[in-house]
Amino acid sequence: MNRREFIQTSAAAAAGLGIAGLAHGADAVTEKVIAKIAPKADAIIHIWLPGGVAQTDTWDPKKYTPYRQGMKGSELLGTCEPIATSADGIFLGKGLENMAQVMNKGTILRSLTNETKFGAIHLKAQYYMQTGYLFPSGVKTPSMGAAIARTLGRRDPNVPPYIYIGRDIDTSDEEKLFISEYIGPGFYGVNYAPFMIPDPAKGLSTLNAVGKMKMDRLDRRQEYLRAITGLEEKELQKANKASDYMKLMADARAMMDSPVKRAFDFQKEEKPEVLKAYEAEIGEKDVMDKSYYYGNRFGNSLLLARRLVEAGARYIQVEYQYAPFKGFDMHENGQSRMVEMKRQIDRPIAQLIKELDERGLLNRTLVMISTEFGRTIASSPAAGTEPDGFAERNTGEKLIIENEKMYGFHGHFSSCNAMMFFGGGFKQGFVYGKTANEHPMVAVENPVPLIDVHATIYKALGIPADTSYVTEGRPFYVTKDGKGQAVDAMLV
Amino acid sequence: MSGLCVVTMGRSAVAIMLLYAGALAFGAEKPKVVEIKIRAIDAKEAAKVSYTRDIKPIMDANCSECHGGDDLKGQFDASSVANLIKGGKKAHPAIIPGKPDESALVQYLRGQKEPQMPKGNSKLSEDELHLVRLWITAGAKDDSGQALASSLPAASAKGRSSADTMALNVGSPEMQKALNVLMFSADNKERLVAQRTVRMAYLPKVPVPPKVKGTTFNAIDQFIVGKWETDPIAKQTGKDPTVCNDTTFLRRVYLDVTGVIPTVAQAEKFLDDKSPVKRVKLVDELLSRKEDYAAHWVPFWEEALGSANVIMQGGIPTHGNYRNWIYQSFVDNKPYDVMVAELIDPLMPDYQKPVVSSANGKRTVATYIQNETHTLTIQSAANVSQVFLGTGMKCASCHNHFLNKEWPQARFLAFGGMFATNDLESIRCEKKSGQFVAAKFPFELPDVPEETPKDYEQRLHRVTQLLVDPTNPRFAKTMVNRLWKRYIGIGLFAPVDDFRLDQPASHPELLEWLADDFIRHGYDLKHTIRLILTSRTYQLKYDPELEDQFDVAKPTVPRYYRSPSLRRLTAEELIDSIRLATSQNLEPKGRLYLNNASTALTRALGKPASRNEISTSRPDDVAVVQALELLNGEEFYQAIYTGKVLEEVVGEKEFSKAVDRLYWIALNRPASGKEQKVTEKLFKGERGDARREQLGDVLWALFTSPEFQYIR
Repeated sequence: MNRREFIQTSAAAAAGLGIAGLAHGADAVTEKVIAKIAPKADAIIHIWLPGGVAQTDTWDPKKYTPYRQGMKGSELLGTCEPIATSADGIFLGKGLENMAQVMNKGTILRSLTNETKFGAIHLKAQYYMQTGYLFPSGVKTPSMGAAIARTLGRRDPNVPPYIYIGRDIDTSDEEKLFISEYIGPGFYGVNYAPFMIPDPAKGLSTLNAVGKMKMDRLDRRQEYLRAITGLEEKELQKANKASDYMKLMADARAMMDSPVKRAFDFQKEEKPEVLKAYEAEIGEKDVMDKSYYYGNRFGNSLLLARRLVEAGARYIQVEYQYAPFKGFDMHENGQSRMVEMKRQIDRPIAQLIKELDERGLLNRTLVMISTEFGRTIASSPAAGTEPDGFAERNTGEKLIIENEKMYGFHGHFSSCNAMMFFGGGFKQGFVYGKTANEHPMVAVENPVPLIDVHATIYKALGIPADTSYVTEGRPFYVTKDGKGQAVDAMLV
Repeated sequence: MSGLCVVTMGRSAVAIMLLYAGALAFGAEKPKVVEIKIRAIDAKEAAKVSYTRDIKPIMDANCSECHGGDDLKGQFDASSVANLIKGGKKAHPAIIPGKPDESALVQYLRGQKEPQMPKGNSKLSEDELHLVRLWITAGAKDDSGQALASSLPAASAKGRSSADTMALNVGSPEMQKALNVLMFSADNKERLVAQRTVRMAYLPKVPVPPKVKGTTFNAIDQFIVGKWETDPIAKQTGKDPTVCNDTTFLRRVYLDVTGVIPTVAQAEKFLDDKSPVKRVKLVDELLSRKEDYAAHWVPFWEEALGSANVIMQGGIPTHGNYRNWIYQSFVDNKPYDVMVAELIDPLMPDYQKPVVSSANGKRTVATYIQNETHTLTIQSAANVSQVFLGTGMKCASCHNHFLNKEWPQARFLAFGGMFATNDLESIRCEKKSGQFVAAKFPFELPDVPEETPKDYEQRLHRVTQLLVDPTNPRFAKTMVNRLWKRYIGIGLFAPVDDFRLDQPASHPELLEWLADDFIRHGYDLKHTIRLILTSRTYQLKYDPELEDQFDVAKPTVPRYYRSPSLRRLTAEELIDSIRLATSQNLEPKGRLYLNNASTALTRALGKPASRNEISTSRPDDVAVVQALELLNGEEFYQAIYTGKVLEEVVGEKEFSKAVDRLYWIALNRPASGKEQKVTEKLFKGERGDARREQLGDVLWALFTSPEFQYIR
């Protein structure tokens, strides 16, 4: 019995064994295992906004309290006005007018509650959100994208199951390398590594013939490779490993003509008004920090994500690229910096939801928006000096706000965080959980730990929370210890 | 031979000699009396000793560093028989054939002449010395030109039992010296080595390599062939495997030792060499290339230790940066126990000290053993146990290990406590119990203190002592098992990080023997590596039918090692080999592991972007993302199409010669007639730039072919 047969015939065993290689074989196996839950979604676009989005300025707005010198922290509830949306009784922060129009398609989770306080450390909170495990977990932990790619496999044989858009990690910066690990495949190995598309406007370089080669030259070269491989020693030709490898070389060539490649032609194929709708509503000249502006990269990423879902992608993560103290990672002057960030994300996200809906894709495609932790007013801007983080228990009674810079001070808030879900089996025009209307703005109704959020996402995709793969001789689960409980109230 | 007096000879064939060491050299001083046991010499036994198989390895391992190659201390060259006999400045001849005890070589090795050789290193074991004497007795014959080291009959001295060695240790001068160091030395490294010598007396008896009919090169093969000849299934199913051809061996051993393929000149030199022992010579030559040997080990250990290039990542302290220390440890061929001690034991002179810094006003410490929280402590303990004891304990960190009954939670927490400032609390599935588990080493070792020191540094010192102790049932075995996996394809027990009592090794006796041999050679990694690489088992031809035996996921498939496994080149091996091939040179500083950048290509080839969780093996699977990088990635393209060698080949007038050269560059062999034909059919006829492109395409195909991408 060769390796392939082994995988196919011992389904239950193989599902847990962490077998290397052979995506197709492994996929066949896992489908039997996960048949227990009927999936509500087949594909997922995960919009990842690292930095710590201030929930009170976006998904969980509070009463607007304008700046007044000397005001108490306890008086300061919101730095922007809540606006009504297409869903009755659901409000978003001002600046999200486009998203407000599609709010009737989505669920807001406002009570994502963490016992762990991450203090100043973004990376630990990001790692947690992406993997469901606290760092260090003791194992090279796969990201959610890798777990979904491995468990569900490809929707289309020519489209990679895990695609990551909008992050450039080709760098020797150690912090960025750390990130590349937690969005990576962990111990699953390279088969479940994300296809990285740093900038959608530049395409995926490996899909365009390298070195300006003409396709016939590329094909002749590959024909030669096949010919000389056929002349190698018999022992090598008979080796499964070598033939699997040669098959993948052929698959790689096929990808160069695949729907994935065509998805990149959006500049040519999409109508000008569609391209326009995916653009940011703020130009470089109007942003305060010109060193951190990615133009239309975020919008293009969402447009590409939509096209890739149409081509058959399984899991796509779109990132607004994280950099410490940039973008959503704002401390002072948050009231005006948030306005800028909202003007970059609002219209493209809304456009994505609209288009998926119009094309009948939203039912089976889950779009979710997440960040690593929430924000709150801070009692002290000295990062990390409180025993359990910035301002987790702060009521603001003792805080006197002396200037506008401090009025918009957004401190890290691990205790509570919010998320958005559109389509893919989540309720539409729905809010789950409620937070306090005074500081600290922790969950006062239906607190949900991250593990259960992950279980809910997995359930929507038809993946049991105790799905596991073996590493170091033991099972490693997609939710910690396999104990995630889906929040059925959020699902249709 | 004044000053030498043979006393008696007992039944035990061991003689006691009282030697007046240095009496000649320091005639004016009072002679020092040294007691040495000397075995009687059996002429039949002597006749079986081979220079190539038995003596040369001893000389290479112990003498050639100073008396070989370019560096001939005392003008003495220990690398050939002629020069051994000839001797050096101080003593010539160094050997009097037929008269071992009158030969200066033996007198230096025994300490009868000073300085005792090998200078600065542990002296030869009595077995080794006995072999040298046997060989001289039989005339100090040079058989290196006669036959493969392999096909020589096994000498009886190889199958020594540990009982002999115990007799040798107790009360021996070696032991006395060790005890003196332990009593008087203030240098904890010296003390560690001395302690090892003393504690070796506790080593249990190990299995003797079985006598077998089949061909063997060394003791390893005796165990392997022994199973072929006795195991009922092996007897039924087995074909007698042959050794691989020279080109295959050449690439296999170059990649395994130096991490890169040979240059054309190096390949030709080896392939043209007519010596029957050229494979052994090559192994020795490669092992003596310290920098390359060390460089090839760095990635493994960086990942196994979780070494980072920085001490802080986004406010999180790392495990520290050990790259240079790892490299230097392997350049120096540091004893393995010393290396591990330097990592853990604060009392070691070259201890890898924690690096303290601050982030956001908090003091943070980058160090291998992290114990600021309960979780970090047990993870440190689990890392130590995984890497150095081949034992997966993470499962037992918050409950009893479900799958491995050997590890109840308390046993692991007791071990974890040895890495903490205080005993650990029993926290069961995140619920604190208020109960504390007394720190305790998890294995019972003979005659070691029961209690654990309270002082933190003393705790780490103690746990190190117990960890590296020769009687530790897992420490040496784990390392030799890793070597076996590295060079043969799968561990004797597998997975290598998860030894289970209920999943015994495929060859338990071989594992015992290798571990024992490793310890007795002073935890000398190169010694054991050499043993594996010069075994016939390592040199066998690849058989694809037997690949199943290397699948960790199939623990019930019997493993006979009639073939090595097909192993994919690592990112470092692949990229460094291409760099070397395309310029026929690789600067030590040009190696991939030194480049901290993580690129699409390196990630696709399996090089981790960072090392914030430890790992002792990379998944070796292939994926489309990887194939795409090879087929069409910019980096891979640049690496191949811009090399110096391609420019040279483009200038070659005759097409077939150019093609031949490319085959030599990439595959270390000429192109066959059929290969020439197909190359000509697809590519011949262009000139100028087009020709450069075509030859580049040929080279790309060679580098992308399975023959290049796999070690077979």
